[in-house]
Amino acid sequence: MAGDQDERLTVATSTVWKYNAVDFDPAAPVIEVEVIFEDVESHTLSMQVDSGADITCIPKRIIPVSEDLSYSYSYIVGYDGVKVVRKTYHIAVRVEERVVYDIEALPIDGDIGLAGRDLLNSLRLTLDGPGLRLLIHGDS
Amino acid sequence: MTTATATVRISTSSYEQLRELAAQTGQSMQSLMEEAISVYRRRLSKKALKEGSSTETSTRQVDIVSDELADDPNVVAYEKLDAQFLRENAGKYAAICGGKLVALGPDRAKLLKIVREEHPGESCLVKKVSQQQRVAYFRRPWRVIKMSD
Repeated sequence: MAGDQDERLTVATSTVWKYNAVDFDPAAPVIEVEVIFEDVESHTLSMQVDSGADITCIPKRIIPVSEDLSYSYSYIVGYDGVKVVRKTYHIAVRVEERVVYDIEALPIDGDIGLAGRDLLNSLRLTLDGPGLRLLIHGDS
Repeated sequence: MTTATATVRISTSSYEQLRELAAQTGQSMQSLMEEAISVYRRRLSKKALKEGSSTETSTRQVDIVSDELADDPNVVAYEKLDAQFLRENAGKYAAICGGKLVALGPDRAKLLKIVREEHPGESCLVKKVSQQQRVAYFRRPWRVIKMSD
C-alpha cells in the first residue's frame, strides 16, 4: 500500500518515498499527506504526485459530513477539452513537517488523491525515475 | 424510488419514437422519459446560469453543470454577481449563504469565522472573487479520475 511507513526513509534533510508499484503500472510517485478540513477534522491518505493536474484532488469518502463545511466550485477541463463544473473544498495539506494552506480540492472517487501543482509548487521534490523513488527536500 | 402514475397525451409519432428508442437502447419507456426530463432540466439550469452571467465576462459560461450545483442557490447567486462587483472585489473572498452575499473580505479564515458565527449550521459558498473564470486542467481523461458528482 502506498504511503506505508516502511516505504519512507528520511535521509539527511530529505524524505525518500518509494514509488507505488502496487496500485500503478508503471509505478508512480505517491506521498502520504494529512488533509485538514478547516480545523474540522483531518485525514491521512496517499496522493499520487501529478504535475499535470492544476489542482489537488481528494477522495470523496473523506469529505466531512458537517453542515458547517463551506465549499466552492471550479470549472474543470480534462484532456478531451470537455468543461464541467464541480464542487470543491478548501483544505490545508500537511506534507512531512510543512503545511500548505488554502488548497482548493476537488473530490474524486477512489482511495488515492492527486497532489496537483497548487500543492506541489510549495514543495521541493526530486523524481528519481530509475531509482523508483521520490525525494521531498526538507528545506521546502 | 417511489413512482406516481400520470396520463400524458403525446402524438402517435412521438409514442412510436419512444417505443423505438426503448427497443434500441433496451431501456423501458419510463426510464427513457425520466432521462429526457433529467436532460431537459439540466439544459434549463445551464441556460439560467448563462443568463445570470455578466455579459462583460462572457467566458463565465457553463458547459456542463452537475445537478448538485445547478440547484444550488449559492452558486446561482455567485454567477449572478455583476461585472462591476467582480472587478471591484477581485481577489477578495465572498461568502454566500442561503443564496445571499453575507460577507466579503480578503482573509478567508476570518471570513469563515464570521460565517460560522452568524450562519451556524448552514453550508455556505466561500469563493475567491475573480473577473475571469478560473479553469483547472487535468492532463488525463477526467472520466478516468472519476470526479464525483
